[in-house]
Amino acid sequence: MELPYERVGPYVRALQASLNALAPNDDHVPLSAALAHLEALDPVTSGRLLIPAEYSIKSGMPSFAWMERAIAEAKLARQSTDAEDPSDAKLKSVAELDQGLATRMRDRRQLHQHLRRARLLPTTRLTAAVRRLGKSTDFSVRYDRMVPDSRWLRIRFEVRVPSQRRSAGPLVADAQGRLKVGDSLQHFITRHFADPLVALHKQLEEATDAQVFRLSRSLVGPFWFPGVQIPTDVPPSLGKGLMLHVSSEVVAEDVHMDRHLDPWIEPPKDERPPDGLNVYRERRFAANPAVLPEAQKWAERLGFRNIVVPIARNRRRDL
Amino acid sequence: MSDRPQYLGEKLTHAHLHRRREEIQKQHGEAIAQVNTMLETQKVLGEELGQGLDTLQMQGTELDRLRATEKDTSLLASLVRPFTSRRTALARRSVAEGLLKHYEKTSTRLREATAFSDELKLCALEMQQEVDRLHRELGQALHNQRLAAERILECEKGLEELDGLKISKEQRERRHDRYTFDLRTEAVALELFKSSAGQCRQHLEPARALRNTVLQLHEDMAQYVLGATHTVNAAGRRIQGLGMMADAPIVVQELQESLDELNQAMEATQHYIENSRKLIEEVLPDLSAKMDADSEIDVADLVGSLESVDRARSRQMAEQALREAAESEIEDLLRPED
Repeated sequence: MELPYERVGPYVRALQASLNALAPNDDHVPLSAALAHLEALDPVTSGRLLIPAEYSIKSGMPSFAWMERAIAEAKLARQSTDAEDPSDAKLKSVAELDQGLATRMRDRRQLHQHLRRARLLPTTRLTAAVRRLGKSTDFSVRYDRMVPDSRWLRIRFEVRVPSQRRSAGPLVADAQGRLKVGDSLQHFITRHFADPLVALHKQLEEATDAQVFRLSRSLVGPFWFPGVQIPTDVPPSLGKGLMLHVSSEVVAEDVHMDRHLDPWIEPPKDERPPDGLNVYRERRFAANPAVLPEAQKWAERLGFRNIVVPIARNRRRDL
Repeated sequence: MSDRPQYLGEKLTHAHLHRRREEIQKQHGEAIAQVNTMLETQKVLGEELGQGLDTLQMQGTELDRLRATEKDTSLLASLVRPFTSRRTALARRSVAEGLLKHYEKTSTRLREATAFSDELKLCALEMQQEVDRLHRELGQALHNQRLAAERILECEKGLEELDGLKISKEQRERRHDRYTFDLRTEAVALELFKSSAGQCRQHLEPARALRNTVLQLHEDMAQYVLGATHTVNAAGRRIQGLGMMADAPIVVQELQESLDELNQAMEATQHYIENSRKLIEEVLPDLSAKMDADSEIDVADLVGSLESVDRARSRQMAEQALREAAESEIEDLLRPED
């Protein structure tokens, strides 16, 4: 679905404000990159350069193609410097010839200056680091992706092998602690990211031939607003305002007991976490005043308190 | 005297005319260099997109092969399928990843092409500005030329009527000197204005041709960017779903559709690049050659003309200038606007 141009700015800023209200932790895609990416999409920064502004009708999140356009523009922006951008005097002279062209040049300058300084969300990225070289060898892996329904996914897992080992399948550390990651791990996660959590845990242990002592799968989205298909199992009134979901599933040894704090998704039946690990699930919401009371009532009716936070008003900016 | 029509623009001198000629030649040289640089940018863009097209064709062929293998219902194919299924899955995955990378690369090239299209537009606008300036200068030169011619003829008339006037000898000599001085001054001015008009006319054609070349490039590029952006956006929507289904049979169909769409965009690119290259390769050398020939016409010719100004010639020049001015006005009325 495509947003009319006049709604692009309010949409992007509402999503930014919702993210700010929820302040997702490090199990999620990086907040600063998400906010910077949205700022690039905002017409205040990029004018009409990155439109069409499309969103997923199912999740209400910005489409892959729209997000990717900002990434492509960032690659271009880094090929030049601020000093090479057109000056104010140049823009003024261009405006005398063609106002529309001058506006585009000014927008491109502004967007490029933002993109040269900002880190954006990746379409797909796997990063890994050695966390410990001592009693055991621990690796930390993060896999970030824009999933097919446009939500933003992070799978994060911690791997442990005995101290005498310096590798865990495709993760190979040298004596100095530098890490090499085989491509196969990213391909593997890309194929299996949506598998049930406990199954994914097992598959990762097999793929790395190591103990995975913590695995989290977190998503930003869906973002419900008028114009998005609201699932039939939630009150339709929740689709009349703004409502952003962030959700996490964690299976880890530092989760002391199984807990399920997600009012929307039922806990999987017959789920058997590995020995010594427990599963924690949560979903939190940011909602605007139009749906906040309704959302709180809905969550409380299902037995969940304090999981809906109000969306704070963003600093107002004029287009 | 205050009601007397005045010359338009800056006071024209031999040095001024020389300086302006050099300035125009420099600007045209720079414009040709700029268009050449743009051609280079296009070449790079075209080569990269061409490589992408080759990759896509390879991926498309591979997908066709995979699909044919899947649809093969022969006994032999059924027997070996269990042993080749993993290899087929890996091949599909590799094609899917190749496509995603290629999509990202194409998307970046498109952003570049969009920015380049704006550069072309700016270049065309600046060239139009130069054409406008030359027209303005030509208009001023023609106006001034006519004015100088009228003044020369007034002086001539004054000189002719002088003999019939009943005035003292001293007065007659004073007026004769005045008319003679004015006549020579205006004759020099007329020669300069005439030269200025000629200079403007001479440079208008290459300036107009350069502007048209860049305009054509911009129009083609803008049209291409519009079409390709639409196609690549559509491909992006399909590609978004690839990772999740990387091993599912349906992905082959999805991939093939994406490839077909991207192939169309790439073919349009190739076609466009070829057209642009032809345009520039034919137009630019002609323009450069014309510019070189023009620069050989030395200002010394003008100096020679100024030195040989005499009364008979200046009268002839004035009459000629008035005729030319009238013809020019008619021509302007008949010519479509730039």
